[in-house]
Amino acid sequence: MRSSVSWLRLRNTLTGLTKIHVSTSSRRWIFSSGCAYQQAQPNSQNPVFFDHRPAQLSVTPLVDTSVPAHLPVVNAKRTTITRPREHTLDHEGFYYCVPPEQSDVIYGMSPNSGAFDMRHRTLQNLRFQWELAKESAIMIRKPALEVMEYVKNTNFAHPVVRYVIYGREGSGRTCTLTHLLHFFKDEGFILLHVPKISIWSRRYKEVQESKFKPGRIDLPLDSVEWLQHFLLQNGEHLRQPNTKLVTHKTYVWSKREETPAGSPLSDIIDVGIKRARYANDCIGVLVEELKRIVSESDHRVAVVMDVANALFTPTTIPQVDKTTVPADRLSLFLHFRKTLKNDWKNGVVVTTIDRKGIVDLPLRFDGGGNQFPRYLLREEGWAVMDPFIPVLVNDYSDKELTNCIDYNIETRWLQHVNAGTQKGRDELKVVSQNNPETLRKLMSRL
Amino acid sequence: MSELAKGVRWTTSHLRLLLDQATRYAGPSRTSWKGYRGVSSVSGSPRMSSNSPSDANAPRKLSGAAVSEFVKNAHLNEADPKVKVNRAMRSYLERAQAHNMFMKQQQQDFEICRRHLANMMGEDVETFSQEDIDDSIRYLLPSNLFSRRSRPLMKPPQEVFPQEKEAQFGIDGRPFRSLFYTGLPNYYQVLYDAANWTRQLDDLEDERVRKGKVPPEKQIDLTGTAWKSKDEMSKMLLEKISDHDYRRFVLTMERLLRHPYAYRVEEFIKKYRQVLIAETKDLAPPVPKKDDSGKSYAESHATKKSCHAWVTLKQGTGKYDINGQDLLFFPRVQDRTQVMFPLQFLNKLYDFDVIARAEFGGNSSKAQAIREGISRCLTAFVTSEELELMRQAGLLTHDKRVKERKKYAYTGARSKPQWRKR
Repeated sequence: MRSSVSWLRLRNTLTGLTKIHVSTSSRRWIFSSGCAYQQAQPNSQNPVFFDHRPAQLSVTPLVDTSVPAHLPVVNAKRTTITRPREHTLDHEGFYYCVPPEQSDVIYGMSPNSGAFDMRHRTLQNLRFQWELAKESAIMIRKPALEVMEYVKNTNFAHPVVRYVIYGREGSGRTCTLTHLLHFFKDEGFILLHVPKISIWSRRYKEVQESKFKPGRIDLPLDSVEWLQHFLLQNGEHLRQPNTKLVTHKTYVWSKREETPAGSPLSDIIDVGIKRARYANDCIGVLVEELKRIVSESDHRVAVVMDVANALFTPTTIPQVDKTTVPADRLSLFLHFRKTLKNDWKNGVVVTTIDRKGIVDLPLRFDGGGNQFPRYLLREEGWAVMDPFIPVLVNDYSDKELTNCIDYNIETRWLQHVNAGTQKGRDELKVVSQNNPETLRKLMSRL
Repeated sequence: MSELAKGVRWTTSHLRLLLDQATRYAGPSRTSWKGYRGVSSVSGSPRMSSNSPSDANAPRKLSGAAVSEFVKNAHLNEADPKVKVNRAMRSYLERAQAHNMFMKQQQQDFEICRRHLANMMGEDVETFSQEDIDDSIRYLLPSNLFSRRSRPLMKPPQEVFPQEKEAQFGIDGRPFRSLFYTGLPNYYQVLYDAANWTRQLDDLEDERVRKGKVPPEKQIDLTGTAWKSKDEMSKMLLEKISDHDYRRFVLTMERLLRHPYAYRVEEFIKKYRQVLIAETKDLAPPVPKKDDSGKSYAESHATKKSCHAWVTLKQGTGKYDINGQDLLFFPRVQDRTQVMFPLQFLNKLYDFDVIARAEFGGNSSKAQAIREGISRCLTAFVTSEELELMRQAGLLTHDKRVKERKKYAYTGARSKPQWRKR
């Protein structure tokens, strides 16, 4: 991975043996921790190989008695409160574990749970961390607490309130969303969750012309994946007997296929999953129906959308005339734009904005630009989203940083000899500048 | 052509005069031409003899004074055909004469030029020193040539033209010493002396052992000195020494130095040592200033390749402001570590705020220029011990390397275009 640095003669921290080798061919993680003995003596207490089988998620922290002598014994601050509703500012910077039964439904980290590829591509860093630590730990941070506080006090009889989570790169916007997802699930919301909008504009799978409206572009396979994801997250609502989530009119897919009025929404989803050609249109129907039903019933919908500003920026999908597809011709984008409008009730919209994930030449060559909503949403997005509540995600405070390093030492992700010392911590702090993503990258090679 | 070449006749009186002059020049230890011996009797007393070998073997240079005196008198007296002057000696004298005349002329020219230059610059002629000359040349003939040796200079002729050796043989053409035939007499004389001293000291040690005495705990204080470099030795001995020769010299001297009685030949050893300059004394730390809120700060400017960095180090809490961003201005870890290193090295990570502006160059250059700037600023706030530590860590050394220019017909500085057989 990284060779030892020779450009600093007196440097004695942050350098050292490579800890983890990733063998890409077999896609297995091998702990070597700089010593060969672990690899030579695999046993049940000291797991050496890891594969893609479902992770054994547990609430209790990993307890391993065979701590090598040079590793400090550190315990990160945790809370046993697993209901996000009960988290307060007293728990700021603490870790809590999402219970495995909920975690598998919301985040679906096991490959058997469907829509694995989309989730894998969007939450992979978190996924690796959770898989290696054998627990789905999330740090409780202020922006998530702030949004939860607002939602708890929201009058749902009014049009939906929109939140835009912003902050600089790597400050933890997506992780804030994971905490909020758990919160909404725990509160009984129907989740309309898009892990990352920009994968549809940048890393799409298959493209086809829309049958519904000529000129529009469909992404059938991506749509199927998203429908599976939706079904997984909201199975309990959709599969209920006597559910109120039913269509109000008949949808005719072809001469022979139609979904009659009054059939449950899961039928629509099944059509989309089975017939990829109609998946895009199914999503459109689903969004329209949900907005209509929810406004009149006691169901609540949480729209959680990562990199929402990608809905308003051009895609990289090529066209015959060597131009790319503009955002307002991608049918998926058009469907999800409808959820952002505040013409419905009994819902909440939480979005993040990002500068990196989008495809827009002026934004890529803006010499740094800034991270503020007005700049990133641009004219078009602003017109849709305004008014909204901006929520700023800052970098780690010193307390959070310390706890994060502690957690990584505890789970033995960080195994450097100087990791536990004050000098090592100082170096991590300064080099990462308290930025969570930068810290993660730094620690990933130590 | 010198006057000697025009067929001047030689007389005994002239030659005696020449010999006297030469004797006076070479020092008191040499008593006669014929009886010259490089080293005093080896088998004699182990005590230090009064005619130290080192005195007698100072490298001899052209005795300009003697020759000029000889020449002055030459045309006054009659020629004496009885005296036979060896052809080699005559040739040497001619060369010496020519060199002497040349140097005299150069010296005169230099003096005139110095006065002219002083007048041009509007300075006092009498107090116009060499430093003033250098400044004036730099001002009047500004040169951007890469090689410093190629830039215009004006130095006294003694510094510009190399010194030449004195004759190693007498009028009859016989060399004064057998080492003449080695080709490097002065060099081998030094080796011989060192070996000879070692032997004498060995004898001394044997005698002491026989008497049951132990050597005293005396050591030569050689701190802050090192053996003269190869070039220095070449300059001193007026002989061109190879790497191999120099290694042999160092080995021989080291062996002498290890001797328990080496303190007895301290004078001889120290002649071949040179004093190392304490570098930290030359550093001028920036003067700390105070801002409006009473915090002291220091400013500096540093460069690396084409990058310029202006750094302000202010008492604070460890914040970074680099071109308006924090340390993540540098996307690579390596660059961030570079910037952080001086403060981390002195355990002052949270004692100062860094405000830096870095322009031109790439990320790596910017980081290293800022690092150097921070180090310089830090010198205003640290103790002398810390300063020495910083110097040893290489933090105060300017990296003067620059990009090598691209050469015509090459694809880069050195790389050639791919060659293909036609």
